Amino acid sequence: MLLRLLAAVVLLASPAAANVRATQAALPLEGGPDPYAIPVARTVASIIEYSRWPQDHPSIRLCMAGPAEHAERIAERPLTRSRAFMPLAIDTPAESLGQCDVLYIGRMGLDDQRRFTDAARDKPVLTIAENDPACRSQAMVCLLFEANGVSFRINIDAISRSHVRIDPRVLRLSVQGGAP
Amino acid sequence: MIRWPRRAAEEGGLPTLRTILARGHFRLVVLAVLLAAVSLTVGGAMLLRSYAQLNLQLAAKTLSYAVEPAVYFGDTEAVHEAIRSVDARETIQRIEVSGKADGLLVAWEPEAGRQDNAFEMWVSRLVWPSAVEMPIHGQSGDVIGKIKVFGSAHGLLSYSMMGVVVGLCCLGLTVLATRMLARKLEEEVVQPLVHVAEVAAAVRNEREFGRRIAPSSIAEVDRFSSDFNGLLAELEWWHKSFVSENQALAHMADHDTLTGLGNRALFERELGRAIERADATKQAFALLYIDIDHFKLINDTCGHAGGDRVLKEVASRLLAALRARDQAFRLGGDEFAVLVDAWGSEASPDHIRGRLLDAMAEPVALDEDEEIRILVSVGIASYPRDARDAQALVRCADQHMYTSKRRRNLRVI
Repeated sequence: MLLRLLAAVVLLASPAAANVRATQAALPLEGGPDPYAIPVARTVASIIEYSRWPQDHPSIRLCMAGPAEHAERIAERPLTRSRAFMPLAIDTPAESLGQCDVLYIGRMGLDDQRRFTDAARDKPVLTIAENDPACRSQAMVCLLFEANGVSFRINIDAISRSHVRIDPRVLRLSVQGGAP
Repeated sequence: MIRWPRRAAEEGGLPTLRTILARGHFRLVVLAVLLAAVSLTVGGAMLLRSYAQLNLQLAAKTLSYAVEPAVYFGDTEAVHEAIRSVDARETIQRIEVSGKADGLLVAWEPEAGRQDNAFEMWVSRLVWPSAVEMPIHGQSGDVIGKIKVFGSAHGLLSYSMMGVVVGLCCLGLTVLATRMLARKLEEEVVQPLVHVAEVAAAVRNEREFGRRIAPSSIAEVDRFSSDFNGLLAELEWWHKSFVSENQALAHMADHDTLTGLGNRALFERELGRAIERADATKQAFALLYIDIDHFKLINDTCGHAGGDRVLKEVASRLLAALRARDQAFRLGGDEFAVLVDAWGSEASPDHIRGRLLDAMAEPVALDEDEEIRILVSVGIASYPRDARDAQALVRCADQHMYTSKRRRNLRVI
């Protein structure tokens, strides 16, 4: 509830900034075989850095659902407070229960994505969708791949339901609008 | 009411009490106001400076908090946005955000037209000699970058300007109010003294010894006033007695003490005046010389008291017989003179002589049971018929009197 309020305040407070942000990519592309891999890793790691789970775990259990295209560098990112990523591949939504801190949803249909997000609802799981630019899958964070970089969209409704608390300052970094 | 400034000019350019008081008050007011203004300004400036310092630190802290995730993400656009959201134009002229390794991430300055002018830059450097530096802490408390904030005196100056305007208004009001109070005090002190000076001037110039100073509400002036009034009362008494003594002396100088008639000196003056008057008005007047027959005999037989009694009686009968505008004199001994002014047909000199003789016909009572009959000889000379000057007129009247006396004595003998 508090988070929803905070998010609403943040959203209301910066309509002008939102317009500016909507046209610009956040993180620039890097070289290498997949130019999106490093910005994606950086974005995901930063969001995780500014997120709080009800219980602190020594490692962040990063669950990969479905085939992810740009997620291969995420687990390499360093995390503060001597935590580390613990990547886990899951196939069914039921597997996410109690095992995952972060659920990275790869390329799949909207209905499949919904099944994963439904399973993660009301749990302390941060959901990130790779293939949902309009953010209709009820994932909390939806990555946006633009020509010159990577940015993200957030689903305030999903964030407010979730038990994971994301720093409102991070929410301001997201591309606003677009979610139905 | 004598106005003080004019009196001041009369007093040879000496400063008046009011000027001295006003000057003293003015200096006091200016000094007090200046002291207050200086201490307020210095105190205010110091307070303002320390608040500005705190404010800049607070702004740096706020900015550091606002840009933290953006710096962590490495998103320069987001850093810009966070800075814009803080909107610190009034206090900040430049912000530098640097990451841990990337060096300078973002340098923000107000857009053209809103930047500080040279004076504001100068004041800014004076207030904040160095930029405020604040480390940016990440989620785990480690430093992920730093922010440098350069203060701007823009807001401070407009605020100070307002303060200066308000302060000047207050100073103006203070000066006005103090001047009014000082003027009132001057009025209260100077007014009684002006009154004293006015009374003193009236006493000196117009001899108004009856004037007194009204009681004052100031103790010293009141004491002075009552002493001054006492002096005035004494002066008035002295003046009165001096005047009456003078009058008595003047009366004595030209009047006969026994009969109260004018003496020879007065007679000579009045005769001269009568001649002038007659010349001017082309009218005649007459001089009557009167002498009591055998006055020596009366003195010898009745004593000098009897003689005086006779002289007094003759004088009063003379006055009774004359008209109001005729004058009688005792020239000495038993000799009298009368000036009969411009007579009409009903009162010619001869007619008057007749009336005089009639008046003397009654015997003079010396005692309760002693009476004496007196005779007088009268000589008349009229001007300008008998003589053209005073001496000749007197001689003429004298001759006529002796002629008349001799004629009667012959007849008696």
